[in-house]
Amino acid sequence: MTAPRSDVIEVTVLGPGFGECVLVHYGDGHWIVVDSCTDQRNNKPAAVSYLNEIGASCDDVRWIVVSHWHQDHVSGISELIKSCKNASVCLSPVFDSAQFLTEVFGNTTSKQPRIGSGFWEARELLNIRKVDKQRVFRAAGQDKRLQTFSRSIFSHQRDVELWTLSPNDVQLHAFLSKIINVASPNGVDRGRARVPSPNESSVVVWLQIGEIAILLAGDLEEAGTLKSWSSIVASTGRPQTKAQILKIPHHGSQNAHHPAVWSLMLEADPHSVLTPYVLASNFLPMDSDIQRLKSLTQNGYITSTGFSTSPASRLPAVDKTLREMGSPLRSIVQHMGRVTFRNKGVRGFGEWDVLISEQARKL
Amino acid sequence: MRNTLATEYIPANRRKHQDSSAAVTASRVHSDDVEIAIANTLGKYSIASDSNVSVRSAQSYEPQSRKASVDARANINLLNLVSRKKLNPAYAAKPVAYVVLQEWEGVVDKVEDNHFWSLLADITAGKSRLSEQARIENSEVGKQYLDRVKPGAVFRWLIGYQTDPNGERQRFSRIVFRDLPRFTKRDREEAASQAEEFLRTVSPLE
Repeated sequence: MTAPRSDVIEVTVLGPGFGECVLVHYGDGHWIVVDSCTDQRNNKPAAVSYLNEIGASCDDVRWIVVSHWHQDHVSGISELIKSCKNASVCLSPVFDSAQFLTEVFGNTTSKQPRIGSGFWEARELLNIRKVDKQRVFRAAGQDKRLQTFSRSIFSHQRDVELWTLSPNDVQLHAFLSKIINVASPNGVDRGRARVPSPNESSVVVWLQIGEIAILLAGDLEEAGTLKSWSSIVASTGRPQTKAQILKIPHHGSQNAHHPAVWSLMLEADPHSVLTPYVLASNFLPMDSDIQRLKSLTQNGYITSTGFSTSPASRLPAVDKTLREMGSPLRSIVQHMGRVTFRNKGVRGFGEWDVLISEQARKL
Repeated sequence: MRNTLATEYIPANRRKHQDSSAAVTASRVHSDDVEIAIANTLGKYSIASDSNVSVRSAQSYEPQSRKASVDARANINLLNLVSRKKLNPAYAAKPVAYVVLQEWEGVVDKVEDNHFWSLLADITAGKSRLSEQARIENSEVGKQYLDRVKPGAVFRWLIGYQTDPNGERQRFSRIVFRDLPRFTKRDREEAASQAEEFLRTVSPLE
């Protein structure tokens, strides 16, 4: 693939089975990246690999949005930010909370195991914030317009607006009250820090490009007491247009589904894409999720079928022991899957082509 | 009477298997009731609470190859290998040799009825990233560790050969939960102080 033409809008979702990253080209070489996962081929952030592959430059990334701090959304995020020197960074407001920062510092000491916790990426991000005084860091929030780009700079001659639709103050307060009990309870053995569930405070992104709207729904879940999607749907402060493109929230799970999102915030049969989540005994989307999504759109895609690559080959004695234990290993390192939606530029602004990698499938 | 033992690190050039495997020999065992054969030189693992063993000396060592990605020191941490087989006093003076073929660092992801799901980083392959997962039966975990099987708990998993004093060689699998320091009030105060310092010196989010 080559980089999109200057007047073409592109939405690319990368998802290897555990991890997610979204890139949007909104015109004339300008990109937004939401979240990060790692390309196992070179251990680099997948967004960096993708931009390099299509001949685009990391210097053209204008915004990086971090939806939340689950490991499958922040792997390599600090390296991505360093690579994209001109990018402003949008974070959850919890990054200005002493309570949350205490958890980050407390869970990233030399006493803490390094494996598999998003807190280490958060700590590295704090270091970047401290050192990189030139970079703009902004807080996400409900119905917050981060930036407006004038149509005069784009070949497609449309204004571009970047919004966040969440989290709100109630969601943040609830998150902070939970994390203090989960991340570092006093007097408890250290281990890999965990984060609260369900995810009621993920950042949701809305991108308006003229008549086109794109909804990037992070991992926000409706389940729980806060009814976070209901809050977004009911808001009158958000753009009231309907989106043609959807990054489906939380790997298509029922917990993240809200019927009114589909009826009030999305056009009919939106081009939709989800990334799978294959870890331990957790498999998303479930068959019932796929059936539900197929009933809502004929243009649904998944970045990867989620099947693992083979685990590393090992000595026969090791394999034999694993077989006897009944503990077969499964790799969580998977081939990067990709789904790309590209419109036809000024000659067909609302018409989309779909380009998918070998691992991706239509739902 | 408490037992004593010492450990001896077998250098790389005497290993029969892959480079990153390690072997430890328990020697000078003075015991008629030894359950734990290996000592922990780095202090990362605890001796099983039901053992009757103390460590008199533990030989320090330097890894033969300092591959940056391989925490060679970790290999010696198999050290807490638990041998449930009581040693016959007749063999007490003979060494029990362990050769580790495969080592993972793991973290408990999800606990279910009689098993748990874990995510694993292949230490033997020099990887620090979690790259594999396994379902492990609770019966594979020593009873002294069962109360530690909780989401987020970190452990080492070793597979290798164990040679008994009578020369009999058999494969073993050991799962050893790390005895990590607990969060203390002081830890929290230090972290809170760092957070305050950060917020005082760094511009707030716009």
